[in-house]
Amino acid sequence: MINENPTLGRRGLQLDVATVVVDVFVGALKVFLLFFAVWSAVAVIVLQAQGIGLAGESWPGIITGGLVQGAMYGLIALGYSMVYGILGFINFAHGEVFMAGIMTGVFVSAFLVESGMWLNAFPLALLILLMSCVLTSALVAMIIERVAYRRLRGAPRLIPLITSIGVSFFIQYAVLGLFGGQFRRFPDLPPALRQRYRVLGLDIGGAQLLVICVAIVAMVVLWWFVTRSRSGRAIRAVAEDKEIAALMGIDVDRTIVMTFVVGGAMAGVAGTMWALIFRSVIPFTGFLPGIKAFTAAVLGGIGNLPGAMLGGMTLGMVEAVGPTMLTSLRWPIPDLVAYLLGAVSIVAVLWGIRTIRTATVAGATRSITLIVLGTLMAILSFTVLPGYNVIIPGASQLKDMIAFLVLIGVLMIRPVGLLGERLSVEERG
Amino acid sequence: MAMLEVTGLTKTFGGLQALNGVDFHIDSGEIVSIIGPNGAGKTTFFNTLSGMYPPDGGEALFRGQNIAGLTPDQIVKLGIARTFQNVRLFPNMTVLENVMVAQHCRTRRSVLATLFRSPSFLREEAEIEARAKEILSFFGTRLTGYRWEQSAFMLSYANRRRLEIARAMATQPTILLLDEPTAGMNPRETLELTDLIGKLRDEKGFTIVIIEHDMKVVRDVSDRVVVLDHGVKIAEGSYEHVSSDDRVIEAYLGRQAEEEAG
Amino acid sequence: MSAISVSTLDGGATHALEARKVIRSGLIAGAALALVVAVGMFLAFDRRKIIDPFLSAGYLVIMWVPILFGYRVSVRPALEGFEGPKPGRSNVVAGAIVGAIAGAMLGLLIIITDTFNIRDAFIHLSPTLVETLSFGGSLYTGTLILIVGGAVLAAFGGALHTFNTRTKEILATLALTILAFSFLELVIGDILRSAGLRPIDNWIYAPSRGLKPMPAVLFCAIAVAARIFFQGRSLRVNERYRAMDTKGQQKWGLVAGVVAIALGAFLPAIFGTFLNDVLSNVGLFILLGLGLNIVVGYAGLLDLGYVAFFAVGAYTAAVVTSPRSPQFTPEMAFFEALPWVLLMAVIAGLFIGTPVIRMRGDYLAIVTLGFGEIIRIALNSEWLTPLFGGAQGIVRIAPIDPGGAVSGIRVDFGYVLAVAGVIALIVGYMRWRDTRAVAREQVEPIPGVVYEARTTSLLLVGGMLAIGLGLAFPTFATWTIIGINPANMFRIVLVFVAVAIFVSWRLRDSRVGRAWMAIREDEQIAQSMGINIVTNKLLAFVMGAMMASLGGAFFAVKLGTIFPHSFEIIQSIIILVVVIVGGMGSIKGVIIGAVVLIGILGGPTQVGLLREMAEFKLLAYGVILIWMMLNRPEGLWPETRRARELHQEEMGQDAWLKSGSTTEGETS
Repeated sequence: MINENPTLGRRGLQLDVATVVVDVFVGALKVFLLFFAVWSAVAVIVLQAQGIGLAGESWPGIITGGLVQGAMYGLIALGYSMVYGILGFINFAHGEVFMAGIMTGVFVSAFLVESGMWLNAFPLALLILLMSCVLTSALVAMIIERVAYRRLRGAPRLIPLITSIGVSFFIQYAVLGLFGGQFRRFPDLPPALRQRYRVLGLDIGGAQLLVICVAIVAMVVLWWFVTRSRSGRAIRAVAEDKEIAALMGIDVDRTIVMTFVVGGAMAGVAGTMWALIFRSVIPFTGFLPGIKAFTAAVLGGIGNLPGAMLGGMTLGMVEAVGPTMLTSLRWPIPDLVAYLLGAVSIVAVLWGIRTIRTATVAGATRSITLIVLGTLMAILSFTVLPGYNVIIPGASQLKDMIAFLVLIGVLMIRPVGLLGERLSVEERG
Repeated sequence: MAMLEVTGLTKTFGGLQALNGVDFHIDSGEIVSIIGPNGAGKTTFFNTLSGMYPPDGGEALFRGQNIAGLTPDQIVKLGIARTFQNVRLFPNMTVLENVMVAQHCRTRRSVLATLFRSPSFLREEAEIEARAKEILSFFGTRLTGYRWEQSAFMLSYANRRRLEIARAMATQPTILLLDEPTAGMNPRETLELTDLIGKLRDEKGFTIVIIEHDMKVVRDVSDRVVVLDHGVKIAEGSYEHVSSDDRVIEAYLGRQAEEEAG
Repeated sequence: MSAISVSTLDGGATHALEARKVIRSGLIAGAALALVVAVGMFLAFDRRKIIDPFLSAGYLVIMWVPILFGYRVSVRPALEGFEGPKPGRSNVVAGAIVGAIAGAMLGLLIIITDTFNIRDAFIHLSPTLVETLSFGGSLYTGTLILIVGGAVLAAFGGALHTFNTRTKEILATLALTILAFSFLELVIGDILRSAGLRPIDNWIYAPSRGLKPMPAVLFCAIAVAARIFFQGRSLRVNERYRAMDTKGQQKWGLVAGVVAIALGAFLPAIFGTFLNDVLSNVGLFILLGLGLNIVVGYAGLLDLGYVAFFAVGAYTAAVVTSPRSPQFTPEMAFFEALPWVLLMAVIAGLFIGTPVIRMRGDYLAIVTLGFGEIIRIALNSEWLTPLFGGAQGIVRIAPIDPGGAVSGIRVDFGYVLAVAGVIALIVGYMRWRDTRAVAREQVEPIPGVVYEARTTSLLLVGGMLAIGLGLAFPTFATWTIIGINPANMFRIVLVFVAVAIFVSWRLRDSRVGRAWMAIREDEQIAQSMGINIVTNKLLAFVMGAMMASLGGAFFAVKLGTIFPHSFEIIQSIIILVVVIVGGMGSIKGVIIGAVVLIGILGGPTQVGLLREMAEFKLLAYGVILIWMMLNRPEGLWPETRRARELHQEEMGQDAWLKSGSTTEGETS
């Protein structure tokens, strides 16, 4: 490493050891995640081609399941994304907003069954169900904003976040105390929704089809609202810069309430979807979907509405396909592939050695990462990897784990999300 | 050889060329002012030098060592400290703590020594406290006595500026980068600070780079003036030389004319 | 402010304003009452008697609502330099109206419950409830009682403003005495019985375990007398302590320390099983809270997956100690396992800390939460069952004797002595080296610190002796603690807590502590002032992880069996609440937080002194968290610094008001 090149300085590389180790480790983690992602994806395809993968007819089910789940995440994610875009904190209680809608839906649907409307005039009953979910969720979101968050404008960053955790707890356990912890079930769907339909070559259940349609309509309405309506413009202005928006005569408080209401309404639509697909609810129903929807929002780029939908869809698909991908890791890595990987690693090491001599300090860390990881990878490729496979029993239990791993991977590899963040000036820092 | 020698420093934000191949050098004991219209890339130059943004190209040799791309803490450790245009203290730490924490990179007691309150630890604490008080006394009585225990946010604006300079001094730098130290000060305070900057060099031996809008301050303190516009160095030399340079006048006045026209 | 300025201008407008405020308060109070009743708190608490025939805890949980809101409705923001209106009859009247509205709403709820069938939805709105709340009469007399009762209570709440401090203090003493004696009946009973004083127990408590009226009156009288007698005395002790010189303070500090240790060793013997169990849970959460306090309170990194480290500690301890661990069974004893536990904690801290270090504050929160879940899911999965036992967990952790099934800790005092010797040796060596360096004039002596040669040699010789003796006779004395013996578990956790307090305190007042503080304040600036944020943040993670893992190991040996189920997100949240309620960044705050929350309400799976809270404690946690954040974000017992920072604006205003008259030598 002793070199006359001035970019290296006289005393060799002045690198902070801890920082370099951290960088190498983060690099290793990225490579590790990418490696398994690529391996499992290839394995799925290969196994399918060899005819020993999943039975062909189960794929449409997985894909539509992923679509539906993804649309649901996307709709909830919109609420997170909008609030984060404007106020800059994770509204943990948003999952509970979603749950409150479903919980109301249960009672409303029970009433609808009693009155006979569920059987005789299902479309009308569905509309009433949808409206009640949407209204409850929007109302709950509005109340939360009014009671808890409004007084915290301008407080240090962590305070509203912690408050929202408290709100989330409060709602969960208040609902538990009021309505009990047992599963509350939705009534059976009419036969038309229990049938399966062929759409675009996919075999889709009626309820799923309906739900996808509802989600699309909701998104179109939201898109129209945000881009075309007066309130939507106000929301975008406030999201951009609260002070300037206020100077332009926009009522910031009202706009923030509007944001919560719209976010809550979208969660309500998602709640209706949940009601039709999963057809039962407990007080804790909202928690995990809430966290995952936030993941989806981050995945797509927080503050970015199309991003939230895309993130939701991606996450839904990953979750649906994930377990299959995990089990496909039973496919042994062919020797040739391993050797090829080894060769690539050696090239990476050589490249690292070549660049480290001319690198500026920032580049040097990358070169070191290349050398260290490349060496490691090369050794593995020629010893362990040929014919290596992992057998993971009970892969479907690990569905949530995959979701979180995707989150971690995305935040490490592309911290601004797939479509990029849109934050207000206050939050950009 | 110059103490700090910058060649071809480049920084791009999206499509905007904030710095476009800036060359710069400063010798030991010099005071150099950087001036230029708003958006000329002055603060970006500081941010890039102090490691807050990694440069896209070029190099910065500080005592013969390339510091481009190092992290801010490494650069401070090597001996370049800075202040900020919009004063950024640790508002909830006391005045004394603000100055003590800046000496972090000059201290090195391990966790074990800390836990057992080893003699070396106690000595180090006593030393940095004494040094902090000494540095604060450089500003007269404004930041001493009962002020030591006051939170930084309770200080007046001018005192915050002073504390920020004290904090930068506490990192024991060779070069001080002062970003508009007189912004927001009244004429009397400005005058006092001008004096102080001279003292920083003469008594404390710092080499100083200063970004300044107040031309009187620039004239009074600088040995040399560098003019930036649109990320490019357009002039360099003594104040008199620079102030009569056609390109400098154009950079300032041309912009004005444009604005008036628009 | 607006109320004041309006009142000077226009009396009518003020009344309208006040009326709206009163009605709103009444409606909120009514909603709170309805919630308390509808989640089932009333009936659950009704089973416990406070004063035997008269008062049940159920009434207590609804009575505080009108009192509180009656009080709050006439609280006005205190402004320095402005005279508020004198408290008077209007407070009482406003209170009464609030109470009446609240009572009416509760009455309405009862009537609705009785008229419509809503029990399908609201599981706690039962006929029993209707019966109890109509007080043996008809629905309408019941409602009337509720309205009148609410009005009276809330009027009392409003009247609190008119009482002087002394009266208020006496009232508080009365309330506290009654509450303490009735809610601590189990504890007091245990203590009395273990002292052989069962008859006294029978005299104090009725068979329902409620206080009998006579003793209640007696205790109240004693408490009030004591209160009046000790008025101001505790304050004087405090002042006298502060007036002492350092030497005297050190001496008395030492005395206080010895007394504390003696009490810690002796008191658990008479506390009885229940209290000891509660206290050892409190200790566990102090330990966890102190660890999280380093991460969140000192360094400002909101770690929502803190339970991961707790799990790592518990599982490492389980795997290396249990003979039934599925794969790997070195069957170590508890203390042999501790180094491995700490090592795994360091690794986990680095592993989780590294990827999140460069992330923005709230991304860090969600990613750490993700890590917490990943670890739990992995432990629970079929995939790792061969290693960690899956959902069945690991049983027979740290058996006392090989082949036995009783979990526990064996303390060999020989090793304890050796460890103490090592510490003495280190300290002695440091002092010796320093004295030598000073003597050779290599360094300046530290101002105000003198190392006497005698102490130094005592430390060196004593240390070596202790190590030698300890290692030669490792088991000259042993102390076997069974996991299910709460008294001893409490003692051992006290030791861990003491170590954690020591470490937190020493780290806080050092360069590391200052660096963490700077990172918490402004990460970017901290870095450009020469602080390496990577190493310092990792250090915070590692220190936090070590304390959590210690807690985990203790938890594992206490229960003897662990399941993945014990490590859900809720644990992280509860530890966070403990830290926040006590006061972020404050050691004493964490202790207070744990005592109040875990001790009184109970932990996620642990019982607190208020056993009836079991179902409702998490609801209470939510309410407390929100309330704290809105009204007292600095916590119950914060560091002065933290309190300052969250009230920056007010402090600024105060300073401005105060400095208004005095002119400084500068215009700035």
